[in-house]
Amino acid sequence: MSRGHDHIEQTLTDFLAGGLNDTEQNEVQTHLDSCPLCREKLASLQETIAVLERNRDSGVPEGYFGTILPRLRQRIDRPRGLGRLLDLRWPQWAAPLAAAILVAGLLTAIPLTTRETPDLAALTRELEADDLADAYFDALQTSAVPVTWPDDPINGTVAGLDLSNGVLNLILDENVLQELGTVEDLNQEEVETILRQLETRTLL
Amino acid sequence: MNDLELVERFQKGDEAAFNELVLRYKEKIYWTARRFLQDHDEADEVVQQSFLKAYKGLKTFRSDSGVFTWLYRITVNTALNVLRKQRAREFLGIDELTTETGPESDRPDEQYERREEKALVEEAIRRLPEKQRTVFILRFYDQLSYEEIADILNTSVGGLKANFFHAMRKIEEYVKRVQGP
Repeated sequence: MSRGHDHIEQTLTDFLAGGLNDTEQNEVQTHLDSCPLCREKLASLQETIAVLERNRDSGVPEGYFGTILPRLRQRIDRPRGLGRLLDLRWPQWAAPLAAAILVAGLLTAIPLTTRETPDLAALTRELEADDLADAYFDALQTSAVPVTWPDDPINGTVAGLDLSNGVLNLILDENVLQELGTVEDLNQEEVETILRQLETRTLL
Repeated sequence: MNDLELVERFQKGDEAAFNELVLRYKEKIYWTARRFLQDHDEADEVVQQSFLKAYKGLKTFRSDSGVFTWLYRITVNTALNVLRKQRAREFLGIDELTTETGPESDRPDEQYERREEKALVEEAIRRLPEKQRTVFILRFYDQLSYEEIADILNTSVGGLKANFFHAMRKIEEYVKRVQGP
């Protein structure tokens, strides 16, 4: 008996699945041959695995897997922003009206292309806690933010976290960019304002 | 064509290459999400969100980890995100717990037993701490190696083995306690 019960017990599931290398597999087998206690544990584990295996598959609606890609493409190809506006069915009088407004605008020299200064406080207030949580957990996918395992979901707060550029970009990408155009439109001061406001927000 | 070749083609503007990746991994991604969330509709939304994130991320994807590992990482994180919200809602009493039923059998008593056992297994897994649950699903159901799981979760193999062992023992204890010896 080269190893103790605890070590053998820890390897029993992998032993059953054939997931050990030859040396380990032989070691466990040798131990089992001479240890009734571990044989009992093995039998008990086999029963549990049988229960798990019996309930491995759940029902999936017929033809479901064939719908994944078409629905995904629909979401990907859906026009956003200006593209979505252009995609709408406009009434016949819309084009002449738009032309008239454009001409009137040019004549009166209204600076139509100037972007108004965004009300950042209002924009960040509009961010729902869920959006923040989504953005934060999305950012966990990147190596910039280490994965953490909070035991208590209520403590999974965004407040006080060091919001990295990755998180900021995700938040802006999902929630603010539609209002502002592109992230390059923001100057350093605006970014810092958003960060200060986001840091005071909590997940729940 | 391997995954990285598909990614390269996609980065050069070939949308069909992305579609091919979706077709290649959709079932694996779905079942991983389903086992985390134990609900078809929520799993479906995780599948859609995960591939949408992949679509955005692939444009700048670098091959320091495999495409498969990266997709799994996105799926696990997206599913965990849903799970955390779900737990928070449960904690606050907003959601009531629901359990799904499995395929129906002709015999009512068999149907009942099957439903009971399925609910038992789901509850046993649901009770696991987040990391143990993650490792259990990836190891037991997805049959990934510890090295692959370590790559996905960015952690050590030794810790994963311990997590898997504790997960399995907790499931065993719960099933035996409820079912009786």
